[in-house]
Amino acid sequence: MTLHTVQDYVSQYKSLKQSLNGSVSPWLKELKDSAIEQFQKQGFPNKKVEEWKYTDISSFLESSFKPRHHEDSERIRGDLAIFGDGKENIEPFIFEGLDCYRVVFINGLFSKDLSKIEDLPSQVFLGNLQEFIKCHPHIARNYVNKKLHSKKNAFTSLNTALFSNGACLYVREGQKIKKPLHFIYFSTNSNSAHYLRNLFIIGKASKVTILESFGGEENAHYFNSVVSQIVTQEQSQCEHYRFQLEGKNAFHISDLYFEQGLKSEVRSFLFGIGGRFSRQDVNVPFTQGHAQCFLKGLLKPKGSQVIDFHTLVEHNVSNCVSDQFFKAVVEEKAQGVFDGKIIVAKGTKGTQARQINKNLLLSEGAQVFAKPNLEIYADDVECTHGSSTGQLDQKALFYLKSRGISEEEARKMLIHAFVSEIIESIPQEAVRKKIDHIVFSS
Amino acid sequence: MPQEKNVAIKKITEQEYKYGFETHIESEQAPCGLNEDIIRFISKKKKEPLFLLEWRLKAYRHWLKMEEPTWQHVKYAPIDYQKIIYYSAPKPKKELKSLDEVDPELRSMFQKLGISLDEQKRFSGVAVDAVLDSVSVATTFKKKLKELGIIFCSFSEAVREHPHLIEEYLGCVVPYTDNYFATLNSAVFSDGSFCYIPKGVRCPMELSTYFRINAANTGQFERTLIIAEEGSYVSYLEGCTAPMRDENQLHAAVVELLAKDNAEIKYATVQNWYPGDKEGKGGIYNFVTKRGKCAGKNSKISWTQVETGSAITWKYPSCILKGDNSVGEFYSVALTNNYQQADTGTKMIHIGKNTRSTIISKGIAAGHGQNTYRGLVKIQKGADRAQNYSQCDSLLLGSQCGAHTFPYIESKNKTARVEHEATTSKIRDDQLFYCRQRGMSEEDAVSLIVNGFCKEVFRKLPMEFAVEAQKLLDVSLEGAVG
Amino acid sequence: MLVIKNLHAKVGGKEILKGIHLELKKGEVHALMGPNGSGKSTLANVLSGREDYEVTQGEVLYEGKSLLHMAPEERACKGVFQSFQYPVEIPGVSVTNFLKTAVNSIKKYRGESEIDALDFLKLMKEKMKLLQMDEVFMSRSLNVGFSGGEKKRNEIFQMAMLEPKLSILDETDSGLDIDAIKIVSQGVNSLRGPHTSFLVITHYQRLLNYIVPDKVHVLSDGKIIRSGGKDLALLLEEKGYDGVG
Repeated sequence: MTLHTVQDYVSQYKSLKQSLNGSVSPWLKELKDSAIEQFQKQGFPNKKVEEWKYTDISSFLESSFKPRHHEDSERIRGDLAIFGDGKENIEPFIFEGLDCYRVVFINGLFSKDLSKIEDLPSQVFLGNLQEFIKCHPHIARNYVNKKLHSKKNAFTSLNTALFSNGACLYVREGQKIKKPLHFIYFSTNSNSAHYLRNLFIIGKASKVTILESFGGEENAHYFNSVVSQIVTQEQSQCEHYRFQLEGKNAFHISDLYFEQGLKSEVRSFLFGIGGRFSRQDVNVPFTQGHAQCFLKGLLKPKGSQVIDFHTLVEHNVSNCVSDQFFKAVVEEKAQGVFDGKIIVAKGTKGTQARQINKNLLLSEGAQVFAKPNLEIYADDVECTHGSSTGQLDQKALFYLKSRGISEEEARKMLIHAFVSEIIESIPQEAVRKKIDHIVFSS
Repeated sequence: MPQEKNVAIKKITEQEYKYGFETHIESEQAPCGLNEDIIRFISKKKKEPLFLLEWRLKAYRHWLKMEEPTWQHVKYAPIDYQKIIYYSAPKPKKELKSLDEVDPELRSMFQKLGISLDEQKRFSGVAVDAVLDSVSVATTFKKKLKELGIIFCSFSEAVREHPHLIEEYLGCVVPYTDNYFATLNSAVFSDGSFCYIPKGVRCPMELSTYFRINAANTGQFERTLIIAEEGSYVSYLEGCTAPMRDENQLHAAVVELLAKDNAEIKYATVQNWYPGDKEGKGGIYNFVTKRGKCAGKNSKISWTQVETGSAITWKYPSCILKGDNSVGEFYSVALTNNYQQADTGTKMIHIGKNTRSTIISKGIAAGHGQNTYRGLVKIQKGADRAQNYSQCDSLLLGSQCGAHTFPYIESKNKTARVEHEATTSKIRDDQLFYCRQRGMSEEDAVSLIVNGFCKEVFRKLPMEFAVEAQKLLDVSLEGAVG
Repeated sequence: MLVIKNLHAKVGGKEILKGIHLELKKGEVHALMGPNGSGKSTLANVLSGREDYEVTQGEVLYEGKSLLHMAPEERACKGVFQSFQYPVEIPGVSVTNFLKTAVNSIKKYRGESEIDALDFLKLMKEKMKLLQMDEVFMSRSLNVGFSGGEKKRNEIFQMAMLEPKLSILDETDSGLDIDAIKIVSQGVNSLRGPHTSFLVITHYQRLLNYIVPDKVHVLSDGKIIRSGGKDLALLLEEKGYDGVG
């Protein structure tokens, strides 16, 4: 059976349910049941739904995928056989000179062989969600059982219903982990749909650096559905990177939540470069005061790619700070979408919210849709947002050419300068170098 | 928030709506409800040619197939379209040969509103078309304008005297299928203003239409059409008020502007419909479709609006920039107080080459008001070197109101430049204190700061109206923060 | 003109003024000096009526009437002026418009008619000349984009325009170079007379070379620990706050 319509997915859920009978905790079963019900009610979003106005998913609906999420040892072996020991596929994602812990997923399945989880401090759990649910059922339930899908769209519902595993990190109180944790999610040509549910919990006063890389074989056809919760408890800090470098024929739809505790700080760098169609939602629902969140993003679609970032920052409590800086470079006949929503709730004080979006259109046929929006219900706020869209500065281009630089080289220099603002702000040198290389060879 | 500030701002926004009086004028009305017979009745009453009746009926039939739009940020009780009276005209005592013959009651009513129907007084050299309950009752300076070839009269008169113009241009910018309220308007509109400026003529005076709703339970459906031929210029002002009533009244108007090569149209609105009382009861529902088409090269259309009234405002004056080098501008101040809701903004559609648009929107929210800016800047594929600059600022007076900004930016042309900025803030305590230490009372301080906030927009209004707008803002602000 | 008796005040829950006694007669210029945190600005803010400050004890009489019961604008209309340490920006409100509104508000309070537009313009130009300010400031938004020195000069310009009876100058000299200090002092001195009084709050003795005080008070930890003539300022400069207390 191939997955195509809402009904296909619903039937698939039903058959999966039977095969997993008994091996899933009741709360998880209930969560998944409610999610599939919600999915059936919602159906896939179309252009009439405000949040999907500029994101045309018809190419996704026209594709069909085989369900691929059974923790079937037969299949894992099969995959790895085709895949080899996988090392050469992982190579491109590794950051030279940066020693990291590593968790690897192939086609949505956890690969112990390719992961590097040795020598972890005792207060840290690093691995996959299934294992975490077994070891720490209460903690897992506390976070995973949040009905995220009730506030969102069909894709989050679908993920909740169909995920069986995902990456997991649990850092207890007071741990400052110097070595970064790198999560690699690689997919091969299997015409399959993968559902990952990730959970990263950073305990009180702890500090971590998380890197996530999504990639696939060049022409592989697959669908990656990712829902991640990054929880930073009181006074903790998280430096987060996400590199969406999926294959040219892939679909990537993800929903990322930063759940921040009192006085916590999150700095996240998000890159949308790969995939035929990618939509990344980033949610920051502040529920504790004095939290700070800094988001920086770069979209770089070309060919006929569609790269879409939707951010939702909700200042539900006082004294939080949010700062967003997103740039898009759109080439050939590609489409870039940035929709940044900031909501400041009634009765809150001392909110500082900033958002800047800059878009560069490089060719005829390139398109950008930007919608920076503000919903403010409190008056003690400092909120600004700005969005500008245009092309390379013609005067600057001419200046470079008048100094003997070729048109192509000059354009490259100016694009590099445009994009550098985001890349230069990355604190980790190895990461900076790598992403610089990737952005300019992509 | 310090006590005194609340009290002061509260005082400012609590002043009475001074246009709330009612006038008893004998009027002729159609029965309640809407169906094809009512439409035929309206058309017959106005002695309209057949083409117009057919147009109305086409619109009505189309309307029956449409669904009322729902908007997230505007909430209102459902409108019962069958409970509205679609035609109410003040009974004409006789055919007017001169302005002196205007019903003295009508004249005094307009005088109370500060509108002079007396040509001798030469009220700032502004020609006025006074419209009461969607029926034009008097138009000043018609003769003088006629000498220049300018036609400025009520829409109904234009239908009778210049049917060929109406037939050619009606619906050219807002087709009857455009949106729910525009379609309804196309079926039942009763009157409005018509203005035609011939080639190369620069209209020597401000043209103004003053709308006054008087009769109860009626819907107001005005239709305004302004055509500026090549090389012409006109500056137009629209003012509106309505009596205070408990029930909501619907105002669904359509304004079409057409500017040909090298023509310029300036359209300004100072809207002060009854906003409903402090508890949010009553007030006008203002759902208006306003659109300007810069059809010709180098043409220019600018919209300036000061919206302080109506319970609900839903309007997006737009510019279609078709002609090369055409320019569209939108300057707006929207104030929402008590329980008012405003969802207003603009659409700038860039089609031709080298087009430019400027959007300056200032929203002030007070009391429990909800103020939303919704704008669209659309750069079509062929709109080479288009440029847009938008600035949307919101000022929040008090902690119970909301200010929202939803700009939609769609760019399909790489040579185009679109810049959008928005800020949201409040009047800071230290700013207020600074003014008070210099001797100003809190109300004066708030008024000073708010006027400073709106300065850029007020500057775009014709002089006399800028002063009126400032005063209007002061009045509407009473009791703004609580 | 101004009598302060046992004034105690707190801000942010903390007591800053712990019993101030001060008497400022008509025509006098008093200087108030003290280390950071001693309460200088707090005293200035209490006198002008800033709302975040709570008076817990004591009284202040201005021209024989209780000042503390008056709203800030009432104090201003009665002739109290504060030159702020950190003047606030008000975008969209020009310097001209701001001052005209202030002048007319005060006139209204006094039952006088509004100032004639031309007279006002004349007055503005005259005072701008006195403070050697470029006329371009007239149309600029109040304090927006002004340098620190320009802001201070603008404060004294406002003082010259409003002609108060009691002026409280809160660290007017901070951020000014010597030439600016001279010009500002000129402005202040031009208003000195038998019916006007000044309370000059400063860190440095230098300003007092140009605005020569009749009395100098040293404020420390919320109390005036020593008062004297203008020589006290020089002693302070020489010995520091510790050497004088």
